Amino acid sequence: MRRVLPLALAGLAVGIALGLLVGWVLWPVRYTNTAPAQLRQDYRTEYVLMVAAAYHVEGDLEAARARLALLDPEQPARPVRELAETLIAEGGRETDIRTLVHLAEAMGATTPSMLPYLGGTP
Amino acid sequence: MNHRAGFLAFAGGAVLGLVLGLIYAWLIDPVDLYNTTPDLLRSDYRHDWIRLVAMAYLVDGDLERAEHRLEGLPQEDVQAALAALIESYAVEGRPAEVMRPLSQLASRLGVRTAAMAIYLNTPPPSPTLETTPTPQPSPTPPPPTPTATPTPFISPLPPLLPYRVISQTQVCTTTLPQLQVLVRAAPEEEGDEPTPLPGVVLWLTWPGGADRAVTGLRPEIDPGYADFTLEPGVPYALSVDEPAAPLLSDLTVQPCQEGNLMGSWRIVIEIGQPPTTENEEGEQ
Repeated sequence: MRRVLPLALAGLAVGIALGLLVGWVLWPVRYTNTAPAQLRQDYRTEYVLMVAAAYHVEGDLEAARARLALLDPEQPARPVRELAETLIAEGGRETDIRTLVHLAEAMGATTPSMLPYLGGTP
Repeated sequence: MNHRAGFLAFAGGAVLGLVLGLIYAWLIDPVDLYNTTPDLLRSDYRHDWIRLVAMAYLVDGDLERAEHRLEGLPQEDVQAALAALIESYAVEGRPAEVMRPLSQLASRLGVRTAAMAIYLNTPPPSPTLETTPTPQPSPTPPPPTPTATPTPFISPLPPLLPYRVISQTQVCTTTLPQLQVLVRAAPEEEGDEPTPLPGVVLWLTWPGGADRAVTGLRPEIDPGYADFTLEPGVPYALSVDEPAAPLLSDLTVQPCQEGNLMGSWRIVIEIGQPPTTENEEGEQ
Protein backbone atom coordinates (compact mmCIF):
# COMPACT_ATOMS: atom_id res chain seq x y z
CA MET A 1 0.00 0.00 0.00
CA ARG A 2 2.87 2.32 0.69
CA ARG A 3 4.08 1.80 -2.86
CA VAL A 4 0.63 2.10 -4.45
CA LEU A 5 -0.27 5.50 -3.00
CA PRO A 6 2.68 7.42 -4.48
CA LEU A 7 2.01 5.83 -7.85
CA ALA A 8 -1.66 6.79 -7.68
CA LEU A 9 -0.72 10.36 -6.78
CA ALA A 10 1.80 10.46 -9.60
CA GLY A 11 -0.87 9.21 -11.99
CA LEU A 12 -3.24 11.84 -10.68
CA ALA A 13 -0.68 14.57 -11.27
CA VAL A 14 0.04 13.36 -14.78
CA GLY A 15 -3.69 13.12 -15.48
CA ILE A 16 -4.34 16.63 -14.23
CA ALA A 17 -1.48 17.99 -16.31
CA LEU A 18 -2.81 16.16 -19.35
CA GLY A 19 -6.33 17.42 -18.67
CA LEU A 20 -5.14 21.00 -18.43
CA LEU A 21 -3.09 20.62 -21.60
CA VAL A 22 -6.10 19.33 -23.49
CA GLY A 23 -8.57 21.78 -21.93
CA TRP A 24 -6.49 24.93 -22.25
CA VAL A 25 -4.21 24.35 -25.22
CA LEU A 26 -5.19 21.51 -27.50
CA TRP A 27 -8.95 21.70 -27.32
CA PRO A 28 -10.01 24.77 -25.38
CA VAL A 29 -13.56 25.85 -24.84
CA ARG A 30 -14.68 27.96 -27.79
CA TYR A 31 -17.40 30.39 -26.95
CA THR A 32 -19.67 31.22 -29.83
CA ASN A 33 -22.41 33.16 -28.11
CA THR A 34 -20.50 35.97 -26.53
CA ALA A 35 -21.66 39.51 -25.85
CA PRO A 36 -19.94 42.79 -26.72
CA ALA A 37 -18.66 43.07 -23.13
CA GLN A 38 -16.44 40.08 -23.78
CA LEU A 39 -14.81 41.52 -26.87
CA ARG A 40 -11.10 42.17 -26.90
CA GLN A 41 -10.26 45.75 -25.95
CA ASP A 42 -9.54 46.92 -29.50
CA TYR A 43 -12.90 45.58 -30.66
CA ARG A 44 -14.62 47.23 -27.70
CA THR A 45 -13.10 50.50 -28.82
CA GLU A 46 -14.40 49.92 -32.34
CA TYR A 47 -17.79 49.06 -30.92
CA VAL A 48 -18.03 52.34 -29.01
CA LEU A 49 -16.93 54.31 -32.07
CA MET A 50 -19.52 52.59 -34.21
CA VAL A 51 -22.30 53.11 -31.68
CA ALA A 52 -21.50 56.82 -31.74
CA ALA A 53 -21.56 56.82 -35.54
CA ALA A 54 -24.87 54.97 -35.55
CA TYR A 55 -26.30 57.58 -33.22
CA HIS A 56 -25.15 60.25 -35.63
CA VAL A 57 -26.88 58.46 -38.52
CA GLU A 58 -30.08 57.33 -36.85
CA GLY A 59 -30.43 59.77 -33.96
CA ASP A 60 -31.75 56.98 -31.76
CA LEU A 61 -30.43 57.74 -28.30
CA GLU A 62 -32.21 54.83 -26.66
CA ALA A 63 -30.65 52.39 -29.10
CA ALA A 64 -27.22 53.88 -28.41
CA ARG A 65 -27.79 53.68 -24.67
CA ALA A 66 -28.92 50.05 -24.92
CA ARG A 67 -25.88 49.12 -26.96
CA LEU A 68 -23.50 50.84 -24.56
CA ALA A 69 -25.20 49.21 -21.59
CA LEU A 70 -23.90 45.92 -22.95
CA LEU A 71 -20.42 47.21 -22.15
CA ASP A 72 -21.19 48.99 -18.90
CA PRO A 73 -24.67 48.40 -17.52
CA GLU A 74 -24.12 50.76 -14.59
CA GLN A 75 -22.77 53.73 -16.54
CA PRO A 76 -23.45 53.34 -20.27
CA ALA A 77 -21.96 56.75 -21.02
CA ARG A 78 -18.63 55.93 -19.42
CA PRO A 79 -17.08 54.08 -22.41
CA VAL A 80 -18.01 57.00 -24.66
CA ARG A 81 -16.60 59.60 -22.30
CA GLU A 82 -13.39 57.66 -21.71
CA LEU A 83 -12.78 56.95 -25.37
CA ALA A 84 -13.50 60.54 -26.37
CA GLU A 85 -11.04 61.84 -23.80
CA THR A 86 -8.42 59.33 -24.88
CA LEU A 87 -8.76 60.26 -28.54
CA ILE A 88 -8.71 63.96 -27.74
CA ALA A 89 -5.55 63.50 -25.70
CA GLU A 90 -3.90 61.34 -28.35
CA GLY A 91 -5.03 63.44 -31.31
CA GLY A 92 -7.32 60.84 -32.81
CA ARG A 93 -9.43 61.23 -35.90
CA GLU A 94 -11.51 64.37 -35.88
CA THR A 95 -14.60 62.53 -37.16
CA ASP A 96 -14.35 59.91 -34.43
CA ILE A 97 -13.94 62.54 -31.73
CA ARG A 98 -16.86 64.58 -32.96
CA THR A 99 -19.23 61.62 -33.17
CA LEU A 100 -18.21 60.52 -29.67
CA VAL A 101 -18.62 64.02 -28.27
CA HIS A 102 -21.97 64.32 -30.03
CA LEU A 103 -23.17 61.16 -28.30
CA ALA A 104 -21.59 62.11 -24.98
CA GLU A 105 -23.44 65.40 -25.14
CA ALA A 106 -26.73 63.64 -25.80
CA MET A 107 -26.08 61.37 -22.84
CA GLY A 108 -25.12 64.26 -20.58
CA ALA A 109 -21.56 63.03 -20.19
CA THR A 110 -19.50 65.88 -21.54
CA THR A 111 -16.22 66.92 -19.93
CA PRO A 112 -14.19 70.13 -20.26
CA SER A 113 -11.86 68.57 -22.79
CA MET A 114 -14.81 68.01 -25.12
CA LEU A 115 -15.85 71.66 -25.19
CA PRO A 116 -13.95 72.54 -28.39
CA TYR A 117 -15.83 69.77 -30.20
CA LEU A 118 -19.31 70.56 -28.98
CA GLY A 119 -21.89 71.90 -31.36
CA GLY A 120 -20.14 70.89 -34.57
CA THR A 121 -21.29 68.34 -37.05
CA PRO A 122 -19.13 65.22 -37.09
CA MET B 1 1.27 -8.73 -8.30
CA ASN B 2 2.79 -5.61 -6.77
CA HIS B 3 3.82 -4.44 -10.20
CA ARG B 4 0.26 -4.86 -11.51
CA ALA B 5 -1.22 -3.05 -8.50
CA GLY B 6 1.21 -0.19 -9.01
CA PHE B 7 0.25 0.13 -12.68
CA LEU B 8 -3.44 0.13 -11.85
CA ALA B 9 -2.92 2.78 -9.19
CA PHE B 10 -1.01 4.96 -11.61
CA ALA B 11 -3.57 4.49 -14.40
CA GLY B 12 -6.49 5.11 -12.04
CA GLY B 13 -4.84 8.24 -10.73
CA ALA B 14 -4.12 9.43 -14.25
CA VAL B 15 -7.71 8.95 -15.37
CA LEU B 16 -9.02 10.69 -12.29
CA GLY B 17 -6.51 13.48 -12.81
CA LEU B 18 -7.47 13.83 -16.46
CA VAL B 19 -11.12 14.16 -15.53
CA LEU B 20 -10.32 16.71 -12.83
CA GLY B 21 -8.04 18.63 -15.18
CA LEU B 22 -10.67 18.83 -17.89
CA ILE B 23 -13.33 19.89 -15.41
CA TYR B 24 -11.04 22.66 -14.23
CA ALA B 25 -9.95 23.74 -17.71
CA TRP B 26 -13.35 23.61 -19.35
CA LEU B 27 -15.75 24.51 -16.58
CA ILE B 28 -14.01 26.14 -13.63
CA ASP B 29 -11.39 28.26 -15.35
CA PRO B 30 -11.92 28.09 -19.09
CA VAL B 31 -9.78 29.86 -21.65
CA ASP B 32 -10.03 33.63 -21.54
CA LEU B 33 -13.61 34.63 -22.15
CA TYR B 34 -12.82 38.32 -22.19
CA ASN B 35 -10.79 38.58 -25.34
CA THR B 36 -13.24 37.43 -27.92
CA THR B 37 -13.68 38.62 -31.49
CA PRO B 38 -16.81 39.77 -33.36
CA ASP B 39 -17.22 36.45 -35.16
CA LEU B 40 -17.84 34.80 -31.79
CA LEU B 41 -20.64 37.18 -30.86
CA ARG B 42 -24.10 35.81 -30.42
CA SER B 43 -26.05 35.94 -33.67
CA ASP B 44 -28.11 39.05 -32.83
CA TYR B 45 -25.06 40.94 -31.58
CA ARG B 46 -23.13 39.86 -34.66
CA HIS B 47 -25.82 41.23 -36.94
CA ASP B 48 -25.88 44.44 -34.95
CA TRP B 49 -22.10 44.68 -35.29
CA ILE B 50 -22.47 44.50 -39.07
CA ARG B 51 -25.19 47.17 -39.04
CA LEU B 52 -22.92 49.35 -36.94
CA VAL B 53 -20.07 48.89 -39.39
CA ALA B 54 -22.34 50.05 -42.19
CA MET B 55 -23.53 53.09 -40.27
CA ALA B 56 -19.99 54.01 -39.28
CA TYR B 57 -19.08 53.81 -42.96
CA LEU B 58 -21.82 56.33 -43.68
CA VAL B 59 -20.12 58.73 -41.29
CA ASP B 60 -16.43 58.31 -42.11
CA GLY B 61 -16.62 56.87 -45.64
CA ASP B 62 -13.57 54.74 -44.87
CA LEU B 63 -14.05 51.56 -46.85
CA GLU B 64 -10.79 50.00 -45.68
CA ARG B 65 -11.81 50.51 -42.09
CA ALA B 66 -15.24 49.02 -42.70
CA GLU B 67 -13.75 45.96 -44.35
CA HIS B 68 -11.28 45.56 -41.49
CA ARG B 69 -14.13 45.67 -39.00
CA LEU B 70 -15.92 42.94 -40.91
CA GLU B 71 -12.89 40.66 -41.14
CA GLY B 72 -13.50 37.17 -39.87
CA LEU B 73 -17.27 37.44 -39.98
CA PRO B 74 -19.10 34.88 -42.09
CA GLN B 75 -19.83 36.37 -45.48
CA GLU B 76 -23.41 35.14 -45.43
CA ASP B 77 -23.98 36.99 -42.15
CA VAL B 78 -22.50 40.18 -43.56
CA GLN B 79 -24.60 39.98 -46.69
CA ALA B 80 -27.81 39.15 -44.87
CA ALA B 81 -27.40 41.94 -42.34
CA LEU B 82 -26.52 44.54 -44.96
CA ALA B 83 -29.36 43.50 -47.24
CA ALA B 84 -31.80 43.75 -44.32
CA LEU B 85 -30.45 47.17 -43.39
CA ILE B 86 -30.76 48.48 -46.92
CA GLU B 87 -34.26 47.18 -47.35
CA SER B 88 -35.39 48.65 -44.04
CA TYR B 89 -33.80 52.00 -44.87
CA ALA B 90 -35.48 51.95 -48.29
CA VAL B 91 -38.85 51.31 -46.68
CA GLU B 92 -38.21 54.10 -44.18
CA GLY B 93 -37.47 56.42 -47.10
CA ARG B 94 -33.92 57.29 -46.12
CA PRO B 95 -32.40 59.99 -48.34
CA ALA B 96 -30.19 59.15 -51.27
CA GLU B 97 -27.16 60.57 -49.44
CA VAL B 98 -27.51 57.63 -47.06
CA MET B 99 -28.71 54.99 -49.48
CA ARG B 100 -26.08 55.58 -52.12
CA PRO B 101 -22.91 54.97 -50.05
CA LEU B 102 -24.62 52.18 -48.17
CA SER B 103 -25.50 50.50 -51.44
CA GLN B 104 -21.95 50.96 -52.66
CA LEU B 105 -20.55 49.33 -49.53
CA ALA B 106 -23.02 46.49 -49.78
CA SER B 107 -22.33 46.02 -53.45
CA ARG B 108 -18.61 45.78 -52.77
CA LEU B 109 -19.36 43.07 -50.26
CA GLY B 110 -21.41 41.08 -52.72
CA VAL B 111 -24.91 42.15 -51.71
CA ARG B 112 -27.54 42.64 -54.38
CA THR B 113 -31.02 43.83 -53.56
CA ALA B 114 -33.71 45.53 -55.57
CA ALA B 115 -33.55 48.67 -53.48
CA MET B 116 -29.80 48.97 -54.12
CA ALA B 117 -30.10 48.90 -57.88
CA ILE B 118 -31.56 52.35 -58.10
CA TYR B 119 -28.77 53.92 -56.03
CA LEU B 120 -25.98 52.07 -57.77
CA ASN B 121 -27.28 53.16 -61.15
CA THR B 122 -27.96 56.73 -60.14
CA PRO B 123 -25.06 59.13 -60.32
CA PRO B 124 -24.81 61.46 -57.35
CA PRO B 125 -26.09 64.95 -58.01
CA SER B 126 -22.98 66.92 -58.78
CA PRO B 127 -21.59 69.18 -61.48
CA THR B 128 -19.93 66.15 -63.05
CA LEU B 129 -23.30 65.17 -64.41
CA GLU B 130 -22.18 66.56 -67.73
CA THR B 131 -20.05 63.48 -68.15
CA THR B 132 -23.11 61.26 -68.17
CA PRO B 133 -23.36 59.60 -71.52
CA THR B 134 -26.40 61.28 -72.97
CA PRO B 135 -26.12 61.19 -76.73
CA GLN B 136 -28.66 58.80 -78.08
CA PRO B 137 -29.39 58.14 -81.67
CA SER B 138 -33.06 58.76 -81.06
CA PRO B 139 -33.95 62.06 -82.62
CA THR B 140 -36.52 63.11 -80.08
CA PRO B 141 -36.70 62.75 -76.35
CA PRO B 142 -39.50 60.48 -75.33
CA PRO B 143 -42.52 62.64 -74.89
CA PRO B 144 -44.59 61.60 -72.02
CA THR B 145 -47.72 60.30 -72.93
CA PRO B 146 -50.65 61.85 -74.06
CA THR B 147 -53.89 60.88 -72.61
CA ALA B 148 -57.33 61.52 -73.84
CA THR B 149 -57.56 64.36 -71.38
CA PRO B 150 -56.28 67.51 -72.99
CA THR B 151 -54.68 68.92 -69.83
CA PRO B 152 -50.88 68.66 -69.97
CA PHE B 153 -50.23 66.79 -66.74
CA ILE B 154 -46.73 65.70 -67.48
CA SER B 155 -44.02 68.20 -67.05
CA PRO B 156 -40.99 67.77 -69.30
CA LEU B 157 -38.16 65.75 -67.81
CA PRO B 158 -34.64 66.98 -67.47
CA PRO B 159 -32.78 64.93 -70.06
CA LEU B 160 -30.12 63.62 -67.69
CA LEU B 161 -32.48 62.12 -65.14
CA PRO B 162 -32.42 58.33 -65.24
CA TYR B 163 -36.17 58.20 -64.62
CA ARG B 164 -38.64 58.69 -67.41
CA VAL B 165 -42.40 58.70 -67.42
CA ILE B 166 -43.37 56.22 -70.08
CA SER B 167 -47.11 56.54 -69.83
CA GLN B 168 -49.88 58.20 -67.91
CA THR B 169 -53.26 56.58 -68.20
CA GLN B 170 -56.57 57.39 -66.58
CA VAL B 171 -58.21 54.35 -65.02
CA CYS B 172 -61.88 54.40 -64.14
CA THR B 173 -62.33 51.16 -62.29
CA THR B 174 -61.95 52.19 -58.70
CA THR B 175 -64.26 54.31 -56.65
CA LEU B 176 -61.47 55.97 -54.67
CA PRO B 177 -59.12 57.91 -56.92
CA GLN B 178 -55.60 56.56 -56.74
CA LEU B 179 -52.23 57.21 -58.20
CA GLN B 180 -50.98 53.80 -59.29
CA VAL B 181 -47.32 53.74 -60.18
CA LEU B 182 -45.41 51.01 -61.95
CA VAL B 183 -41.64 51.34 -61.88
CA ARG B 184 -39.52 49.22 -64.14
CA ALA B 185 -35.98 49.02 -65.44
CA ALA B 186 -35.47 49.73 -69.09
CA PRO B 187 -34.57 46.64 -71.11
CA GLU B 188 -30.89 46.33 -71.80
CA GLU B 189 -31.38 45.12 -75.33
CA GLU B 190 -33.94 45.85 -77.92
CA GLY B 191 -36.75 43.34 -77.79
CA ASP B 192 -36.31 42.53 -74.09
CA GLU B 193 -39.11 43.20 -71.66
CA PRO B 194 -38.66 45.87 -69.00
CA THR B 195 -38.13 44.48 -65.50
CA PRO B 196 -40.40 45.55 -62.62
CA LEU B 197 -38.37 47.22 -59.86
CA PRO B 198 -39.36 46.66 -56.23
CA GLY B 199 -37.88 48.78 -53.45
CA VAL B 200 -38.08 52.12 -55.26
CA VAL B 201 -39.10 55.02 -53.03
CA LEU B 202 -41.79 57.27 -54.47
CA TRP B 203 -42.86 60.62 -53.07
CA LEU B 204 -46.20 62.26 -53.61
CA THR B 205 -46.21 65.88 -52.57
CA TRP B 206 -48.90 68.51 -52.56
CA PRO B 207 -49.25 71.97 -51.06
CA GLY B 208 -48.80 71.44 -47.35
CA GLY B 209 -48.18 67.71 -47.39
CA ALA B 210 -46.25 64.70 -48.61
CA ASP B 211 -46.60 60.94 -48.65
CA ARG B 212 -44.19 58.20 -49.47
CA ALA B 213 -44.58 54.71 -50.90
CA VAL B 214 -42.20 51.94 -51.84
CA THR B 215 -42.74 49.69 -54.82
CA GLY B 216 -42.97 45.97 -54.35
CA LEU B 217 -45.14 45.84 -51.24
CA ARG B 218 -48.04 44.48 -53.30
CA PRO B 219 -46.35 41.90 -55.49
CA GLU B 220 -49.67 40.28 -56.28
CA ILE B 221 -50.37 43.30 -58.49
CA ASP B 222 -46.85 43.87 -59.81
CA PRO B 223 -43.40 43.71 -58.19
CA GLY B 224 -42.81 47.31 -59.25
CA TYR B 225 -46.19 48.61 -58.11
CA ALA B 226 -47.11 51.20 -55.49
CA ASP B 227 -50.12 53.42 -55.06
CA PHE B 228 -51.37 56.53 -53.30
CA THR B 229 -54.88 57.72 -52.58
CA LEU B 230 -55.72 61.03 -54.23
CA GLU B 231 -58.07 63.76 -53.13
CA PRO B 232 -60.03 65.67 -55.78
CA GLY B 233 -58.99 69.25 -56.31
CA VAL B 234 -55.45 68.85 -54.97
CA PRO B 235 -52.48 69.35 -57.30
CA TYR B 236 -49.95 66.57 -56.74
CA ALA B 237 -46.34 66.08 -57.77
CA LEU B 238 -44.68 62.69 -58.07
CA SER B 239 -40.97 62.16 -57.40
CA VAL B 240 -38.66 59.20 -57.24
CA ASP B 241 -36.09 58.80 -54.45
CA GLU B 242 -36.45 62.24 -53.02
CA PRO B 243 -39.27 64.74 -53.07
CA ALA B 244 -37.03 67.49 -54.41
CA ALA B 245 -37.24 66.87 -58.16
CA PRO B 246 -40.72 65.86 -59.30
CA LEU B 247 -41.13 63.80 -62.44
CA LEU B 248 -44.76 64.85 -62.68
CA SER B 249 -46.41 67.95 -61.37
CA ASP B 250 -49.86 69.49 -61.33
CA LEU B 251 -51.40 66.05 -61.28
CA THR B 252 -55.04 66.30 -60.31
CA VAL B 253 -57.94 63.91 -60.14
CA GLN B 254 -60.16 64.15 -63.20
CA PRO B 255 -63.70 62.86 -63.64
CA CYS B 256 -64.16 59.91 -65.92
CA GLN B 257 -66.05 60.46 -69.10
CA GLU B 258 -68.48 57.69 -68.27
CA GLY B 259 -70.31 57.29 -65.00
CA ASN B 260 -69.87 59.32 -61.88
CA LEU B 261 -66.41 58.08 -61.07
CA MET B 262 -63.34 60.14 -60.37
CA GLY B 263 -60.56 58.54 -62.31
CA SER B 264 -57.34 57.12 -60.98
CA TRP B 265 -54.03 57.66 -62.72
CA ARG B 266 -51.71 54.88 -63.70
CA ILE B 267 -48.17 56.05 -64.29
CA VAL B 268 -45.40 53.91 -65.73
CA ILE B 269 -41.88 55.04 -64.90
CA GLU B 270 -38.83 53.56 -66.47
CA ILE B 271 -35.33 53.75 -65.07
CA GLY B 272 -32.26 53.61 -67.23
CA GLN B 273 -31.64 54.34 -70.86
CA PRO B 274 -33.71 52.23 -73.23
CA PRO B 275 -32.14 50.71 -76.33
CA THR B 276 -34.82 52.37 -78.37
CA THR B 277 -37.40 54.98 -77.62
CA GLU B 278 -40.63 53.40 -76.61
CA ASN B 279 -43.87 55.10 -75.83
CA GLU B 280 -47.11 53.76 -74.67
CA GLU B 281 -50.29 55.36 -75.69
CA GLY B 282 -52.51 56.68 -73.01
CA GLU B 283 -56.00 55.42 -72.99
CA GLN B 284 -59.09 56.39 -71.23
